[in-house]
Amino acid sequence: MIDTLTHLDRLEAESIHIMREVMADAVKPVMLYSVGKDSAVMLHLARKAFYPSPPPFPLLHVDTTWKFRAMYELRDRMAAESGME
Amino acid sequence: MWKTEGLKQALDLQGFDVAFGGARRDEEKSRAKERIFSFRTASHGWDPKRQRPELWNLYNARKAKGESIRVFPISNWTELDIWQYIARENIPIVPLYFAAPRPTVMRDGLLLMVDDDRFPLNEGEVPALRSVRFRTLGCYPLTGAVESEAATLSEVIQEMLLTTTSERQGRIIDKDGGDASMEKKKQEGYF
Amino acid sequence: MTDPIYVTDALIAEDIDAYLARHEQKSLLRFITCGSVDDGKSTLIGRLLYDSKMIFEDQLAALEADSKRAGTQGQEIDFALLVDGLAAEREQGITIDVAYRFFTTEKRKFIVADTPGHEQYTRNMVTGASTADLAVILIDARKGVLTQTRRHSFLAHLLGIRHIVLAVNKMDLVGYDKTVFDRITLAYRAFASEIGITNFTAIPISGFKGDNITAPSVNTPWYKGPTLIEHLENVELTSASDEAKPFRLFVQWVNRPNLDFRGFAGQIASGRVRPGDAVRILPSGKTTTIDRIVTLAGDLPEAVAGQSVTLTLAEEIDCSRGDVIAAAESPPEVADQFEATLVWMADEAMIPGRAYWLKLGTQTVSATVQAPKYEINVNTLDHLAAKTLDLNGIGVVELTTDKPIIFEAYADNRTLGGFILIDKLTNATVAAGMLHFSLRRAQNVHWQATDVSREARADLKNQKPALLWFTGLSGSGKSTIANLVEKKLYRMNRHSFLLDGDNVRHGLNRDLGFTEADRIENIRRVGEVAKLMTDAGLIVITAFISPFKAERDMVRALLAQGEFFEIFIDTPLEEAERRDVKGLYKKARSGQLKNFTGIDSPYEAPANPEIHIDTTRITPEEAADLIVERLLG
Repeated sequence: MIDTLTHLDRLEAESIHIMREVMADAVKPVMLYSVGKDSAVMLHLARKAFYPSPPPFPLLHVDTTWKFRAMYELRDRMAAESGME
Repeated sequence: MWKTEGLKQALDLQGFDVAFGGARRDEEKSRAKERIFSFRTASHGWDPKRQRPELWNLYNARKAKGESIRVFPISNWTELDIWQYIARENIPIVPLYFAAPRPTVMRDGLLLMVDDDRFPLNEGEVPALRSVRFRTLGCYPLTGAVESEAATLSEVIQEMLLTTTSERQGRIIDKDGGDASMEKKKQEGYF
Repeated sequence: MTDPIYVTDALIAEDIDAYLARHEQKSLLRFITCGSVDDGKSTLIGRLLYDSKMIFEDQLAALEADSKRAGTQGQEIDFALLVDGLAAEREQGITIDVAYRFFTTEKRKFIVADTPGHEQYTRNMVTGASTADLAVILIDARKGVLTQTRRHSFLAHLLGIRHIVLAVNKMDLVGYDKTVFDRITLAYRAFASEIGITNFTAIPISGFKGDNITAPSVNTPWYKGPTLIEHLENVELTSASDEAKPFRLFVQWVNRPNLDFRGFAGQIASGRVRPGDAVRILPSGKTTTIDRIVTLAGDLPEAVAGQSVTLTLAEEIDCSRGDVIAAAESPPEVADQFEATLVWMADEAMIPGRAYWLKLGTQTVSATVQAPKYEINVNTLDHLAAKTLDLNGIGVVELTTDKPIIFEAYADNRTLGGFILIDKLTNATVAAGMLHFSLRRAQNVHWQATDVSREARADLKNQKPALLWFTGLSGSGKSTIANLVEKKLYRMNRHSFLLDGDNVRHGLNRDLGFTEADRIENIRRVGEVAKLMTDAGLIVITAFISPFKAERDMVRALLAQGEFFEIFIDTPLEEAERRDVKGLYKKARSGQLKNFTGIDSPYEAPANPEIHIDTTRITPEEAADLIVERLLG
């Protein structure tokens, strides 16, 4: 038996559904962004959820202490590409 | 914990009422029961009794003034799902996840990377060049590296599948007392 | 790990890319495990995680140490310790909890909803079952079919789970005896058919020893069926049948990046969709065709049930959150009165007649629930008479929504038939429900349009209709002030009517007592009567304690914007009790009068009344002047 959607398709659809659902009641949403791999996936899902609009919330980099330099470089690039703050 | 305090202040300062976070249920035993929509009091407290049941794909995001919600859209993803999806979708990630020769010191059983001159070296510590990568990225300099030769995405996944220690092992933050400490952090607003 | 069902280390080591390509194609099955710790449920889940290598060495080392310390399984590993325990739960007595766990095999990824098995945890099991494709019902082979087995099976069936696995566990403790297994299977079949479960798969297992979990057990040569994992890997997913149903998508969010693009974002509830398909937008009923299926990676030629997509339509049609885009030829129904099964999930009991938020798909409306037709005893499945539903109570009810909603029977479509109820005051999720059918079709019930409009009636009287709703404690001065207000209005040639609490109880509401439910019905009727009177063009004045915010808000919602004046007659309890005009406080204090507001029944003071009268500072005459001025000024 062949299933049409793979497990990654289903996880993706669920995450996108959740992000869009938040927009119904949220007044001022924000996405916490750590530049780790989980954040990278979450940001990618947000871009998919709201395309062709940019994600309707800013990214908040919890910048309380030192981070590795390489993380800042990727963060700035991703923010520019997504059209987010 | 720096991460906890900084987050609360940042959220309060700008009046955000909903914050998306990247926590996953498979990361830690006590997170298996965390909701996707997690309600916080005005002081960011997490009250286990006030969390709402989540049925079907119906989420109740109503809240009173001053309350906020943390939403975890990737709750049901595992570490392997994340890596497979990064590969499938070609998602850019920080080079630190890939092995490269980096200056490191060994301290309290953790391999710490000496990123630049901000790193406070203890007496007698001399950075050595080792081929290392990171499985998780927390606060610098608190995240430990692992010795590795995995320099591509496939190799990283391969290493992950063949490895025998859990993802969070490299974080100092977990070292202060098992399960209960994780929950305590949640109540303090860490997640 | 030698078992071929699980992660094949050799392929990972030799050709990781081939391994990944294969694993990207895995499907996803969600299942729920039902049973108590005594049935070996935690041990079974721990075993599944362990066998699928979801346990790492550092966790295993901790587990071994814990097992030795706990000493429950001798020198062997106690898998239950992997999944049991949550400090907050132990210390604070959490009662709502479902734990989700994950493991993967060569064929599928699995999400396991793990719920406690005790009776008081009905709501947890219902929560876990709501998203499950399959239920594993655990039975201790030594004990056979128990009351809880029936309860778990009933709930799984109620939530629409089509695949039931009867896992007869602890076979090692009954000597792998075939007759024990056969006897349990037979007993279960008799019970299952009673509640409508026609099909189930029985598997003899030992979670502790690992029999028939991943590999066929040498201890049960008489068993020819699949192992548990084999079965989980091969059952048909709910999504497969969802794809065969007519197309439906709840609009979640309208995507408007610029004036040239208007996309409708949502997750496909059922069916499949292609550009060019004819669709109907509900509730408007307008038809059009699908133009594009838009994604970040480019337009799609087709999308199916379960996918989150953004659709554009060929024509500019009004469509917003809560609407449904459906196959034009077979749209779902629209109605505002239903029969449904309700599972109550809050500590506070259901209040018949009170308005709750009802969320179904992306629709949120106000709904009132009648007293249950009957309650179902989850252990005996008997139907019992009931006036309300308490925590974990399950009942069949009739409910009415304030505007028509788009729906299908839960049995036909989980997404269009499953809903939650939300308390309007606390915002808590208080119930889960499954719609059976509509009691009448909304499209057949039109409001009778009359030729003389309410505006015309009010114009004739040369006034604007209004409802002056007095609220406050007994003895606060509501009736006194209300009476003064009406006298003043009368002298100013205004047409008014005063509905007094005591007077109404002599006639219209003679059948009602003073329980919380009756008080709510009292207010509901008064609200409806007052609304009709404002339609007649009158200025209506009511004087009721009306202690609950929810009911005052319900009446407010009945009236046109700006016509409802909530007037809070604010008299402190000590003062009202000191006055005690009717001697009621004295009776209440002595216990002769039950459910008396302020004494043994709460008063919820208005937070933002239109008019706030502090009777300790101004006289009734001054108060009446102030109210008339606010009304007419």
